[in-house]
Amino acid sequence: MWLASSRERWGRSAPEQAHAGLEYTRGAPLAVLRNEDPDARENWLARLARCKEPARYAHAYRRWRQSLHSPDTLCFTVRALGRVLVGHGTSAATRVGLTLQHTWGVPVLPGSALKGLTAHYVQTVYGPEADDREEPEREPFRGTTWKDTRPIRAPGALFRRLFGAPDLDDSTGKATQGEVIFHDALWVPAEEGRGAPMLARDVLTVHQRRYYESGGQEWPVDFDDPNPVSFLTVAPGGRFLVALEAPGDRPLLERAEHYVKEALEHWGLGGKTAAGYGRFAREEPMGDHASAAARSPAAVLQSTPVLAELKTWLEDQRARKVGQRPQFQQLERDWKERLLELTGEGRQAAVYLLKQYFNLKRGEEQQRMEELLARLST
Amino acid sequence: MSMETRPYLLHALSPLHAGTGRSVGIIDLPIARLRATNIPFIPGSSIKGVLREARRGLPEGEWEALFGPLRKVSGAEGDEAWEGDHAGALVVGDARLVALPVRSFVGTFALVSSPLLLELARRDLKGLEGVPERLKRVEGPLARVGKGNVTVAPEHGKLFLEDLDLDVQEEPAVEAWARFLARALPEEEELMRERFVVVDDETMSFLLETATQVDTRVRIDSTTGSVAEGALWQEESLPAETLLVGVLAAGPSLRQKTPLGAGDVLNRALRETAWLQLGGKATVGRGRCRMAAWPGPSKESRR
Repeated sequence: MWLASSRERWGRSAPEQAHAGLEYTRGAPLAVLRNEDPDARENWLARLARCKEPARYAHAYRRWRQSLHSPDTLCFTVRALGRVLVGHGTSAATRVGLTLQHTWGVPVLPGSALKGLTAHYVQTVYGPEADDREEPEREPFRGTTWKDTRPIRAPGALFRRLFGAPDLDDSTGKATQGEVIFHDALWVPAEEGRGAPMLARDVLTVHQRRYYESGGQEWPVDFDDPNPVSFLTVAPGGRFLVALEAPGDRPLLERAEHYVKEALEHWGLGGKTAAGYGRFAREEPMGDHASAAARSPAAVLQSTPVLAELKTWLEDQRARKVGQRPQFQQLERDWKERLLELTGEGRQAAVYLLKQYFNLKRGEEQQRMEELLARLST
Repeated sequence: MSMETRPYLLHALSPLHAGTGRSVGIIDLPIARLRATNIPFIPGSSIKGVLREARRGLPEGEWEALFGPLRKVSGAEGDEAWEGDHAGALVVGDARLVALPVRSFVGTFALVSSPLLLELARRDLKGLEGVPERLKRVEGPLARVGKGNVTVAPEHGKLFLEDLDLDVQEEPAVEAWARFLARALPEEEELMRERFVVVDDETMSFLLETATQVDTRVRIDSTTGSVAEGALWQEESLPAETLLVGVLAAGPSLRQKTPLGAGDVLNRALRETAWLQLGGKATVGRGRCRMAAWPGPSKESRR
């Protein structure tokens, strides 16, 4: 039942069948673990670098994408300008870890990393420079002040809304949850655009080993043997879908989007950012429109919660034989605002839906309806 | 008073952390498990609150009839009854694990279940049409699969899950179960059918302990840029693609002037697929799930 030698032989299974994360953390051949044969390690990493996204992953991604069609969410794709290395501290056979999506084994930018990075960026760039200096305009961006493992000072107002705040011991500030959800940024599959390789081999060569191992006691000299350590990173050019969510507060959401984008561009995410790793560029939402055009209004209806709700309501009204005019008045009162919050394909689908259910013949209601449809169509 | 029940399926789209908040083991933040069987579950109380928020779109009266009115005053003072006070008509049961995605060396991952998990699910699913037969217990370790399972290594005829090598046997009932579960989510049928695996109960309890997702998280000190002292912790979750089953029950509305039958209450609670953010760590994307019901007549009225 336990690790049989047959394990070494599945190595021949096709790269789109494998689970890169599982092989990297649990499937190293014995020769790699014992460090016997440098070629074994190279071959193994080369094989992992050929891993492709699994066959059904595109389906899972589409379903994820669909679940994010709502006015409360904001999505955009980012492209990795260089290598990305998240989670290199976790355990792996190569002693350098890599965070991949657990179930599918594809690269992912964890929501916790995005949130942590953005919080750090906001308080450093926009927050007050020192604890004691009075800077009222920077005060809202102040981060939580920690002493060891205890929070000792509550964050500024905006920081609190974006990222939440912990309970303070002296009860001067109560804990609140952040209002923005930072979802995991999933790998965008090849069919949604230019297919890029997922993983790439990387090497880090330690030249002054004795200097590092002695903690600076010995001088760094050039007589040491260089010690190359090879490992895996996420390959440059990969694309990720960043998704943020904030129920009922679009301005806050757009603010969060702005900070995430800046932090990914200027600071970079994950490890080794000082060596240029982890930089991303936001992509223009061109690809979105192209795929939106292909989606039928009916499909958009299904995947947009507001519209699905509206449709149920309209059906209900029709079943109860409510007149067109009172129905329209209620639509204006309860739904208009929410419909105008929609964007792009959502608006088109709303027009399609309203035209299906309303047939106002005359009166000012008809004019107001036309105005609404015109506003939605722009 | 007649009660009606209707089972629901929960499908995790991101890692799901319904935690206990404390730990005795090496994992700092483990997930909640049933005491006797160690099966991961999500308490009905966490689901109900989130479902209440997700159904805000209902007319005010119906919304209160389903979930009960919100307290006007929080705390003990709010306990006093007032004119028109009533209980919610909807009862939300716990969601129990039915299939755990386990990483596989071939075919990426398998949706692993066991005779015990399926037997418990059968209890919840009673009343639906076409619930598959019970699976016999067999001597383990052994994995039973349907035809065309993509996680079986073709050269060895074995399953390589995490650290386990399992012998494989074909069994038509396994496919029947996958198809049945997928009836709640028809577009997932292929994915479930080609990955569904039933292992023996002992192997399952080993996987329940070892095959969940464990993330190491840290807090970075913003002044030094390195890990803050003492701020490293491990967090367990059910991985994305996990399937759980639970039951909703309902009586007729207790709210004055909002007459709803038990069936209407359930229809409103489950009327379209709901996207819910369940469990802890929601602001870093944990716990995005969808809740779906099996289509077809519900004949499970109990008097």
